[in-house]
Amino acid sequence: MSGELAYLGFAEAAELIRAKKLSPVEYATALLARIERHDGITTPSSH
Amino acid sequence: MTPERALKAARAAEAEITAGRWRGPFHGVPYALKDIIDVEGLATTAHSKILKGNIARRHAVVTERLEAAGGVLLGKLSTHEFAIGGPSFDLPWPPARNPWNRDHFCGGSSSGSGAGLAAGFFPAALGTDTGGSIRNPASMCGITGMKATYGRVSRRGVAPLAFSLDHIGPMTRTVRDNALMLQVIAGHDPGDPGSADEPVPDYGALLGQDVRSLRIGVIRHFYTKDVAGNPEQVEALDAAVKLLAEVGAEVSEITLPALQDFSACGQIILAAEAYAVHEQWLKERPEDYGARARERLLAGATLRAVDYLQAVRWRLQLRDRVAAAFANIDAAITASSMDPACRIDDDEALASNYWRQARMPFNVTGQPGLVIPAGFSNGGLPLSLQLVGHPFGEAVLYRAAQFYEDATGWTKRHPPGLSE
Repeated sequence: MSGELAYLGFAEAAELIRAKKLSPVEYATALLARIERHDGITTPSSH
Repeated sequence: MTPERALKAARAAEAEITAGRWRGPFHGVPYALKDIIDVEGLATTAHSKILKGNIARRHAVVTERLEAAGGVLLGKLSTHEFAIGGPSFDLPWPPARNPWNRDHFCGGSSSGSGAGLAAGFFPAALGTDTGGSIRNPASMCGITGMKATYGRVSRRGVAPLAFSLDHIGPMTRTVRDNALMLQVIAGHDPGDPGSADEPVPDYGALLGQDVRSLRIGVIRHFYTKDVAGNPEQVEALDAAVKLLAEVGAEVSEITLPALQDFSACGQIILAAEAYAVHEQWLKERPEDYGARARERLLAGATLRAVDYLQAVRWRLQLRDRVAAAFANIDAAITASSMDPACRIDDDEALASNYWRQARMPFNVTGQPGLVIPAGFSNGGLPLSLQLVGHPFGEAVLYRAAQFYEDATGWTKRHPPGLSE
């Protein structure tokens, strides 16, 4: 997944979400998992 | 990160959309905020021990707007301490690093916003910009960052650094996303004394138009004469100018006052105003600041009222001279950073970041500045360019930037090693 969703622009994502082809829950879950995997590298989260 | 909160918001968005109530292009979109922006019930730390345990009682206006548009907040992002001192290794949290090369600086102070976008962690974030802090990480990380016109976006609920220079703005990977996000957050707020009561245009309206007959001024002396830009960065800017001319933009060189004048004027105002914000904490708890923030903030302690007032008068003169130079153009192009990202442990190069840049002029004048990727150095680090507009002329910048993005495809490249 993450490869595709990770670098999707949200203008495109919005079209998929509106057409119910992309679930906001799936989208958020995928990105949170990606952050969890890589955050130790770029440390962008402050909490 | 705040995953439980995020999933709750995502489920709510999904239920609404399934029920046929789509709010618009930000509905169900994950985003993140620089951690000087308040979210009700979450800590705002400004990455400082000073604010540890500071829980926000209400949303900042920008948060309110993004939430009302249906956005899904993933969490808060690292910043230089109080948006001024960094990168620092003596704070409660480590500094962000550059996804293109983790030994390198990712820019600041909106560091986590730039790094997280380049790393593909979220498609949208907010940063803040007092002397370049949206546009610096945008340059270093190869993403798109807009410092809109002073007063365009409300700052209520965001930790101030310098009242007359502070801006909040969208950071995204693409130009279209940036225009859509500015649309959500722009608008008048009577609760912010700097907020402008100006109509908000449709920022996407000009996207997709070509740049033929657009009059673009090139501020070349900033990066060739006032400061000698890194040759690869200068080459990227020259190539962008050539491209715009080839497709029919009316390109001409314009001359502004020297870059150093804007930097000096802006630094005096920034130092004085930031010290006014921090004086009490600096006196009572100096040891709770990291060394970089403390040193930079203390610069304001010895400034006299007359120094500040002279800088404010100088600022008006600079603004008038820039307005005159912009009289016959629609937008200008110039550098943002003079160099690709330096190593995060190179103190000398980090210090030179504050003057080897052409961002402060537009905090001083309040004009919009949009930074987009403009290629890569031989070392694989992003290069960038900055488009500058008339006050409230953001839509023209988006038009030119969208053209350049489509023509070059730079935004399609992503950092290696983060494919999973």
